Amino acid sequence: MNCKEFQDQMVNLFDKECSPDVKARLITHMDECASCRAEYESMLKYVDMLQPKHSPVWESMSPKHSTNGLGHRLLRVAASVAIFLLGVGVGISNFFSQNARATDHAAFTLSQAIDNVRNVGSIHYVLKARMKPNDNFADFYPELNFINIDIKKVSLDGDALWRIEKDGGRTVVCDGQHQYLFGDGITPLVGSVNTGFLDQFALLLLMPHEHIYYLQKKHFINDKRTVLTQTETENIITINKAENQYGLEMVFSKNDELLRSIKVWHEEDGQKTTVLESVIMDYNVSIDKAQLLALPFPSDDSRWNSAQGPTLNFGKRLDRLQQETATHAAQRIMNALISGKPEKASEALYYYQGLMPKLVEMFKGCSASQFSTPIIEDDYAGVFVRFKLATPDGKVTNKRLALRKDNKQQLWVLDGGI
Amino acid sequence: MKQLFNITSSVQDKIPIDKLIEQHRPALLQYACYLLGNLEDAEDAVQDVYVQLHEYRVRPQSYLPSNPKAYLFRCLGNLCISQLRKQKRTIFVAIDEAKAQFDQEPQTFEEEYQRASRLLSQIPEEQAEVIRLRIYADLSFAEIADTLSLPLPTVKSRFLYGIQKIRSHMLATSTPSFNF
Repeated sequence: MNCKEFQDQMVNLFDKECSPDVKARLITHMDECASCRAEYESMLKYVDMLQPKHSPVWESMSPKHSTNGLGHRLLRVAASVAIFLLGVGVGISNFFSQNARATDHAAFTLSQAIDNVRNVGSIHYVLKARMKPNDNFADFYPELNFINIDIKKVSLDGDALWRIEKDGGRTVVCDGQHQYLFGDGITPLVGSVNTGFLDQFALLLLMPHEHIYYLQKKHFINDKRTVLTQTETENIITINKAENQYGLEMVFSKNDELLRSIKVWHEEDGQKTTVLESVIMDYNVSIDKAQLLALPFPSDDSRWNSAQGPTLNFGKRLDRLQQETATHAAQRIMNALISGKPEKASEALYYYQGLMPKLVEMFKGCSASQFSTPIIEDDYAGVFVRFKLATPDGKVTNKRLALRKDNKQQLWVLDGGI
Repeated sequence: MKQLFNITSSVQDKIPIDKLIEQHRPALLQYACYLLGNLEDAEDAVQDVYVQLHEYRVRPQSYLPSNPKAYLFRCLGNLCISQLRKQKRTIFVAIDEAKAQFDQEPQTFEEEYQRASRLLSQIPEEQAEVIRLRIYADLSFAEIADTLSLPLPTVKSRFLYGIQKIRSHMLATSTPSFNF
């Protein structure tokens, strides 16, 4: 490619559907020609200026089902992992650093790989992760043992149908129109295709463009800790201590440019603990649609509860609950469980309906005191309330409940920490 | 996708339209946000487009759009622009004033929207429209060509010229800095 051809075709680097071949030729030319590279980088600077980094949409679409707040959060890294796991239909353009040359290639490899993963007909991944089976999909617990997470995805007529199953815990199924969450002792929930059952993973489905841009900025433009290593057969992207002391490594085969392995680790005081690792990463495998979309009961069954949360009839109780503080809600929840009358907080325990007898048994003879005022943390859409729990054997522990009210009627609902 | 709009029975066609909107909602909202400047108006505009699309059920097939996604964004763009015209909201900012604000990264959506609006107000609207559709609606150039019924090379050159013009404006207004 000569400079004239580069100038004519450079605009394709700003497209989301540029063929890998054209991109590769443009990049190669930039490697050889400093002035064309400077021209591209100059244009990119102004495109970058227009790119959204904040948005009211983004702010209003915080995850619906977040965390129990006690684990280590892994927002950015989890999200970048999720790009591959779900192969979401994201459009990535301008995926190039303005300064770091090695980073350019890392970003380029990543953007191509995302295109490739997006285009495959089916995916079967098995990952092992230090997560709790019945917990959300955002938190890793370096101190726990690994559990397997089985992920299957099929692209069918423009729809992504997928199933993510935590061994012995939560399963989330998307049939292209709805998402279903179910599992042993979990209230079966159904929501729209954009429901946030997958926590941070789902952010990519809801707001891919903006969130991906954030990732780009974070890992590829501002973050010089991103390294691309090339071997004869593989491209390896490593992000060291990217966020919250987590690191990420992704290996792509040069042959088909697909993601072949992934690893996430937690690093503290120089000690690395792997928290997520791929076991199987297969593409274009045969997946049985019926098994993929299998649910514990039919989709129109009345046992499915709305993911939007509880709905009360208009009346005094609704008024009272809407005016309740988070601290008071936390007290009410704990009193209801301790007194063996969970129905007193049935709305607040909406997500825990299936676990009610277990919870009542668990808190039998306990007492709860010293409830704090609500604590707000940046990456959680709800609030936390701390309290002290005394068990019948006299032991006192500090606990923290996660509560949120971003449901239809704005009622405090327990979301974790129990 | 074409057949989505050819179903004329009463209930079934609601699902594809809902789905279509749902599928593109984030990009639709973001695009509308960058035209209207706030989420509330953007949500109303997306809702209005939804209602418009439902009305297509009763129209003869010859009027049906061939590319629903492109049509969706065109409807939304037109709707937002007519709303802006009604409100007579146009931002006039001196370029040097705008320049002064570009040195700092915007911290909120509001600041970012103001900055983007100012940059885009310096170039012809036909170029700004392509840039908005590419960056905020996250459409590919091919999809933009469908949306605006333009040839693909025209879309690409409008994008490029638009960005080049913004660059020239910014460079022309840049002031020398003094180090004491």
